[in-house]
Amino acid sequence: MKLVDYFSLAFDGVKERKGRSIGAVIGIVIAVVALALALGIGEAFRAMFYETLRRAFGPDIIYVMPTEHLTESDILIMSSLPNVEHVIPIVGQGVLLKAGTFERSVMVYGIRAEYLKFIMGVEDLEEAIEEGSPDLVGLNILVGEYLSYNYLTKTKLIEIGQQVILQGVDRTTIAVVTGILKASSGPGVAFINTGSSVFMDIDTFFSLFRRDMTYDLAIVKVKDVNRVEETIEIIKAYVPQAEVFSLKFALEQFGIFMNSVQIFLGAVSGIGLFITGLWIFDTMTINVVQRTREIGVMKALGFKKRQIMFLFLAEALVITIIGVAIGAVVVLGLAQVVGIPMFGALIKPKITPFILLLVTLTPIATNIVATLAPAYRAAKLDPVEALRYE
Amino acid sequence: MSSIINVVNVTKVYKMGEAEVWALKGVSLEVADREFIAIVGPSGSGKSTLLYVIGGLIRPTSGKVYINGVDITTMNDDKLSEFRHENIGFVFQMYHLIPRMTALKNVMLPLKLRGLSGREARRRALEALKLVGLEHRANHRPTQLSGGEQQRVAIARAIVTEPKIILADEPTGNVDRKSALQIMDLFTRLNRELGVTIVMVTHNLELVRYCRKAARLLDGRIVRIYTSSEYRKLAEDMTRGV
Repeated sequence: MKLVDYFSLAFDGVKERKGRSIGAVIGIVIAVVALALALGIGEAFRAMFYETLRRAFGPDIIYVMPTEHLTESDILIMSSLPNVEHVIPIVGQGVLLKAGTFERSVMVYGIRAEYLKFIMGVEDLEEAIEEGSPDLVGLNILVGEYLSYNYLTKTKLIEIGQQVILQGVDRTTIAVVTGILKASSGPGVAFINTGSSVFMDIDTFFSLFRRDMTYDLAIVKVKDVNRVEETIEIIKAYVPQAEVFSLKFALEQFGIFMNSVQIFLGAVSGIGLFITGLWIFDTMTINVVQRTREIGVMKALGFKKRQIMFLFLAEALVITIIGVAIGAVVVLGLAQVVGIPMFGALIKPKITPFILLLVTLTPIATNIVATLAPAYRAAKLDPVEALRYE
Repeated sequence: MSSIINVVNVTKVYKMGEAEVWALKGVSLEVADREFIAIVGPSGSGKSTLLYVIGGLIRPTSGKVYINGVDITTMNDDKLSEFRHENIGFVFQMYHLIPRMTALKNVMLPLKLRGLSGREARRRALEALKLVGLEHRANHRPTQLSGGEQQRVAIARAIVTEPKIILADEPTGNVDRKSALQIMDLFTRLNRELGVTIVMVTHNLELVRYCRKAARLLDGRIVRIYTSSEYRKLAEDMTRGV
């Protein structure tokens, strides 16, 4: 018997049992859509965070995060190590910024003026200045664009030259705004959101907020990107009290995390597929019972066991393929309109070819497995008993 | 004439829990090629069991069944299915047409199983329907046909693969008298014109006159084979139950 004839017979069977078939198809559509969207959202998060990590790291960057203290001597040691171009120490503190009636909790970072351009991702700090000057000495501060302007009311919140109050946990000071920094999209190097942060000279920062003069983070820029791993090992040897990692490490760790998240999301939405499998099992079992005499006739006509079995498997396949096809169209449509709001943007599901392949093959495999038992039962029926079945 | 069916000392025992039910008790029967034979007997005498043993749908407990000289009792299920498809056509009392299919599609089914193209299967199915006088009802579903018409479609399905043997189990048991006679005329034509060997189970003695021979079964045994000249005797024996 030709393959096309199996499917033609199967399609006739599906058409005859429209009610149950439509029910099964709807179940498959829902399961496919749920699985694809869950995996698609996971994929979209993965892509977004990967991009963020790439922006934050760069291939020639090593992060040194202290588990205890990171001191000036550690910075000097790292600066002297082979393949290290320079070391950028960063220190930060949460404060309450007050400018007239405007108040906002912000991060204030202490950084040397010559390194701020690196954080801003520019060659010359002037390029990163929206307004004012990059004059980062004494109590002068640079504030992010989003702090200086209210885009909703379109009003200026902080002016150049304005005195603002920085209220820390145990110290409050007055600083002068000398420049407004342009906002970059999303978190940048060291995950610093430059548009919503305040920068001041690192020595002033120490005198005001961090008397022990320890750093929160050091960014090491290497000369040769091909020797990043080797440089990490050297830094680890000299600064054992710190976590040292690169983009590759971060991506690996994040990849492991996202894989777990996606497996979890897939497993949760995969319950739908399991239920669909049960529905198919139920449908095909009823099918076999209702068509017992038909199976007897087929056996009398000379159908072999495996041919009978394949007929029922083909029927499950037809239902599944219809469900998967409709589900795929719905998924591709929904992926354009649904999303999760995050970081001021709408994260839309990213339906990759792999996800499409997965949500196609998984229901097919599940439903074939679900049909095996009833199909086998049909194939094993005694022809004469089947013919006499009432 | 050479024998096309040779049943040798066949028994069939069904186990019902601890009890054994002997449906056939050492039946032997030889059917010549192009023969038209009836198997008659009261209900429960083993007529249908014998028919299905000949058709390979029931495996005998012991004994041999040769079809065209080939022992079908030693074949595995797949071989037996193939053999049945190639050599035997079944006609059942309840027609057993597939309700969702038109008459044409029902008749095409065995040809599809054979792997014929759609066009060829359709051509041959229409020929078979023409032979049973139902070409004009090809696109009707079984529910749109009378009992007699359904049985004729079933006969078309049985002959479409041009089998050497037709096994008919009470083929007129579910149709009116006029249709029954039409069906018997059709069997006679198939037997005489196409040379198909027909084994028909019936309890209707009026139909036996269409057959050249009648084997009478009683309690799982063939008690006698009657020729057409002995049908009066058959009727008397059946009435007396001896």
